[in-house]
Amino acid sequence: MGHLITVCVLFLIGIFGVYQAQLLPLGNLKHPGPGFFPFLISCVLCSVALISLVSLKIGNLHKTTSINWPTRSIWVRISFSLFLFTGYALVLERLGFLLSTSLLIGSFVKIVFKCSWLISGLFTAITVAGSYVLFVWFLGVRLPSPNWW
Amino acid sequence: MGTFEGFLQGMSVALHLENLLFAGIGVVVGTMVGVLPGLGPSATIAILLPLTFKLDPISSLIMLAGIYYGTQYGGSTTSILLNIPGEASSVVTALDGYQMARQGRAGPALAIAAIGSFIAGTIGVIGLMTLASPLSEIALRFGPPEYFGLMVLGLTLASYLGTTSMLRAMTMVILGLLMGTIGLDPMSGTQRFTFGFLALQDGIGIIPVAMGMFGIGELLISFEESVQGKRTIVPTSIMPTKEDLRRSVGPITRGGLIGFFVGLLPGGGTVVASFMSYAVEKRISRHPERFGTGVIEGVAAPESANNSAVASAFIPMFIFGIPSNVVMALLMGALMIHGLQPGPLFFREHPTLIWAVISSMYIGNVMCLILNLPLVGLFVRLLQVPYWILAALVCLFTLFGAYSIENKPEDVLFTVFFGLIGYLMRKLDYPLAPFILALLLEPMVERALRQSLILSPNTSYNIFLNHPISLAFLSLSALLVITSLIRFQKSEVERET
Repeated sequence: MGHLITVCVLFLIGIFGVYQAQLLPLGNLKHPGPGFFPFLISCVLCSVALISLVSLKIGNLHKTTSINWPTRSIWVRISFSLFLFTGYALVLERLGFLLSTSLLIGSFVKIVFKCSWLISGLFTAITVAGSYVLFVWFLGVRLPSPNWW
Repeated sequence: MGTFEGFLQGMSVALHLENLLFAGIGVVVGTMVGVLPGLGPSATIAILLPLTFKLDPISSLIMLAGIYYGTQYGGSTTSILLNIPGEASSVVTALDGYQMARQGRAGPALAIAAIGSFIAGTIGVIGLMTLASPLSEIALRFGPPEYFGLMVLGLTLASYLGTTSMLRAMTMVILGLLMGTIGLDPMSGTQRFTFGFLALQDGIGIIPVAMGMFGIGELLISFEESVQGKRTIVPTSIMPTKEDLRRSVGPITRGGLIGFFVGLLPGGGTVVASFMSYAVEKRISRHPERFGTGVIEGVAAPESANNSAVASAFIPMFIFGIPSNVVMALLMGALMIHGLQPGPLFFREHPTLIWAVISSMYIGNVMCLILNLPLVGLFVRLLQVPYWILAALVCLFTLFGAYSIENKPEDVLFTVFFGLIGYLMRKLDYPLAPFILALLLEPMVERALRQSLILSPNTSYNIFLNHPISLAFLSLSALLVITSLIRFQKSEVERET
């Protein structure tokens, strides 16, 4: 089922690409415009998706290799990690490097890997301090400061 | 500058204390990463790339190259000891290497892997040294039609040489090409697929994509996999017998040569090189049935091939500005961040950099041998590092690394998004490398096509047929596609019956 959904998503991406590309000046074969290449690639993507669909032989889907999806608890860890990473991107410039990175690493090891409070706290402090030294002292990277500072 | 003078000049730069230090760091990190299952050279280089932004370009490239060939050395260790390939290119090594370990011959297997890697790595570097300069002269004759042909060949090989289904690899190439069209049109500056978002105007950068797909994707995959608690086989002796050495000479030489030529091809790489050399050894062997039961040839050939391929993969990147695999794409990205554009003039404009990197490979190969022969036991202990420590560090370096490229939080979001895509694609068995290569090549292939048409007298596609080099590349691409279609049809018929 996962393979079928993937092929359908790829086909829809192709259709979306064709639609968006034809809104741009397409030009012609001899004078391709900005939309020509995206249009062409999207058409090829649709074709390849259709070929994949045929090769999947919808009637014999059970014959295709099954996908080894993770268990529910692993999905929870994955979703929470992605939520944390997205949150990090959103708060990095508002909270600054030290606070946002401490929150990221602390939550990551405490919640995702279920480490104890003591280990999580110690590891976070060492990692953040170490990365600060590495980025600022050794590499001269400009770290984001909190904008309310 | 002649080859010998260039080499001497490069050696004098590579022997600077600073460059020796960075070569050493690269080799040690690479070997450790090679030993650790999962985290490959692509992910490591992607993660460590931001650290090189503030370094001198020569030191950066020496360190990153050290990581690349270091991983090839280290990748064999867990393949042989635990049957867990540290690298994709060490998958084949596990077939016979682990069987040797089970027979109590882990030591000879590890030693031959290290010796073979050293000899073949040296073959690769000598090839790189002798061929790089003459090829750069030929590259100067390349115009847009020749580039278009070469890049089409590169994209074809990227899908043709994939280790999973060719159709899936081709899908990833097309998807990468489509993603590559996001941003400003390279010729007219028209916005394409930006949907009014400022962040999309510059297109999707290869670094956030690579860091996401390999770094974050690997992290998510690793939540499911645990390698801890598996039985470790400690080698009792590292010295192979005279018979082992005699039987390894041929596979090491052939593996070195196969690896060198496969590494040259755009779309080739260490994985293909190792698979191909193993297949050749099995085919020419008098006892092919013994392969897979613990024969030394099954370790010597693939380990030699993957190291030789590392060196030759630098040639298309330096000379034509075309990365032959995803690691080379990242190294090229590192050079571009330093304002250096690899291509036909690169050899003339930056001979010191190229020769310094080539020379450092000799030194790096010796360092790898010294590290890998006596320190095998130590590297095995790295497997006992709790995974959560590694995961937290990967997460920090990847996310903040993506931000530090241009101080843009959007790059972190791209990294997370492509991390999820990378995870799903890996679960669905879609290869990631063709996607990254296509994403990088798209602006170049589109520009070359449109420039060729402008240069053509009647704006005709005949320009690609009138230029022999372009014609040769395009014919080869067509041949590869036709061959694989026939093979695909045959396999379908076989499955039906």
